Amino acid sequence: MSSIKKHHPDRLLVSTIMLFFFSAFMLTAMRGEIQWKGFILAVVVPFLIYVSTMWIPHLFPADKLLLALANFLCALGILILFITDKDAGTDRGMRQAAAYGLGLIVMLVCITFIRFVKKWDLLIKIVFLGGLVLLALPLAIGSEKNGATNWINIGGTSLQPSEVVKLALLLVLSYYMSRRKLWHWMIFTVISLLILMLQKDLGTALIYYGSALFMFYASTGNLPLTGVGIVGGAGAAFLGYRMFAHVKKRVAIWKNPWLYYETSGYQIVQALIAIASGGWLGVGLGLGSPRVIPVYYTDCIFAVICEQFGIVFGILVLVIYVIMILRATFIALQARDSFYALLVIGSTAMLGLQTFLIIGGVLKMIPLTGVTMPFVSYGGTSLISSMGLIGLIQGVASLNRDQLAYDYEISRYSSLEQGL
Amino acid sequence: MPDEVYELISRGARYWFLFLMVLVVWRSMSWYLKDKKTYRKHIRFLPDAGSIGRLEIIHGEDINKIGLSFPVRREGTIGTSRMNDIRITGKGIQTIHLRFHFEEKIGLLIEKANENAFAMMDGNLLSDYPVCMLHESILNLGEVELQLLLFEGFECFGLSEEEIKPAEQYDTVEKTPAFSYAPQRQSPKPTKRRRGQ
Repeated sequence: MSSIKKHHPDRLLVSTIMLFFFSAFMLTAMRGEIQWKGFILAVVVPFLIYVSTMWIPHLFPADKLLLALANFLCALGILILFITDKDAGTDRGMRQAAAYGLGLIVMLVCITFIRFVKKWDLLIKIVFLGGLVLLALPLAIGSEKNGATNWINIGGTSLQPSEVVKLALLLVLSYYMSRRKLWHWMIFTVISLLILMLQKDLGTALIYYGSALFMFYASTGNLPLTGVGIVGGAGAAFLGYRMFAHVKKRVAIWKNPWLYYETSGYQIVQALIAIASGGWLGVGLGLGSPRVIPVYYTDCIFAVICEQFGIVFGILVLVIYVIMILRATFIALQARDSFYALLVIGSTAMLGLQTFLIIGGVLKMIPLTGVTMPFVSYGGTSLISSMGLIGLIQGVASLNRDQLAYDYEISRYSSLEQGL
Repeated sequence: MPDEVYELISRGARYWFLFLMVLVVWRSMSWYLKDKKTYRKHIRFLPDAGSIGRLEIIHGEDINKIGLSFPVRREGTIGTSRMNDIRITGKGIQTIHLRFHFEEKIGLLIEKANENAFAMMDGNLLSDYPVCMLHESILNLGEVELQLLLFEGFECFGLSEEEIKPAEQYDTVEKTPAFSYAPQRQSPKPTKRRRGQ
């Protein structure tokens, strides 16, 4: 009698992730006075991870690995924010958890869109115009935060339109690039970049430009023109350096932050000290002084992770991002339509570029740009936009699986017809 | 919980969290690699997955290439450059010579990639507009002659050159006026190749 050993990599991975966060939140809840919110999160967060990773694929044939890793990163962000909430007297952890729930819904919406929309013409035109209008809103009714006018307030809630328009950019570019309509996607990209320059949101402009260039190369394979694009981008960066004082300041801080230790270089210096003080294994969850770092909950959250859990843990977080990018590339290569392939490639490029910019900035490899760490950094709009990206990738992954299943069905039918 | 006790537990828990993180990364990586292996097995079992037919070289100066066939996917390009989906080398063939894409209920539409790309289909010179290729159509590119063999299930209606509009306007079958009075092929029903043949 033979026994068939079934491997369930999804259950193994999800159970490990659930155990991680259950133990982390339970430990944090017992720090100082008992925090009941910690116990609630110790149950709710692993439950949400389980539901989103194991149940959503029952609705659509989604990619469980990508889901699991995205959920892990989101939960890690909630954990870090929750740890620092007690001392800061803030409620960022709970708000991030609420944004995570909303992000899951947005992800489902994006998956549905990709799966069920067959005729994209009219929708793309709406997205084209709507995206540009939304992106330009902060110029009319926006407020300035950290030197950039890229926020709007709607009913007491702050919203960053450039994060939402990222999804529009991907859809518009992949649609027009797949149909070789050069002017359409160039107009959208150029106008978006101009608006972002006016808002002084140069980090996001860099992400938009980099993703567009990557998609251009993927769709045409034209290396010389892509090279021209890279040179053009470098030229624009140099122009930005000459024109904007805050860019000059950031480059100066990057060159030698110790010269400006007490002023503008304080953030990066404290981030570096935090990473170093954590050592290989970290100071311990809930210990250390993460709040010493200015804006630790968005820009420098990676430094907080390294301080709490250690440099080895930080490297493993980077490996998680790399696995996600590899997985998304794998999905793009299986797509049978250039529109979907470009959509996934663009999403992957955006995710990779954003991760590189923020982590490179925190580690002083490149000047700090002020973009958020995907899935982890505090920010409802950022988290929802990242989950939307995952939704687009998941939608294409589910189409790929359907098509492969159809191919199997056809080959089985042909074999039956042939009497095989 | 007293701070000293918490500090002790937290410092001990570092190893636990690191262990779990290593486990997460290990399991993710092995899952990813396993899936890649499984996908390669799928493709070996279904070599024509994603293709709608094959283009076979039936005539050319290089005798060794006669009989060579290429899978035809739903969209792509034909030319001498490596970046093409179907790479065919020969005299008179451009770097990117032709573009093709499959439209549901219309068929495989083929068009010139640039002005200097000359090609003939079933004896007719290709113009600037896309033309529908049928099963067993003959395509002449430079000195190479190719035949299209469509898999079962990919129907194609014949449309004359004047009736075909640029492919982007074929949103629905109903919008294509040519479709309603498209001359049906009078020749015997072409035999369609099954997948894997």
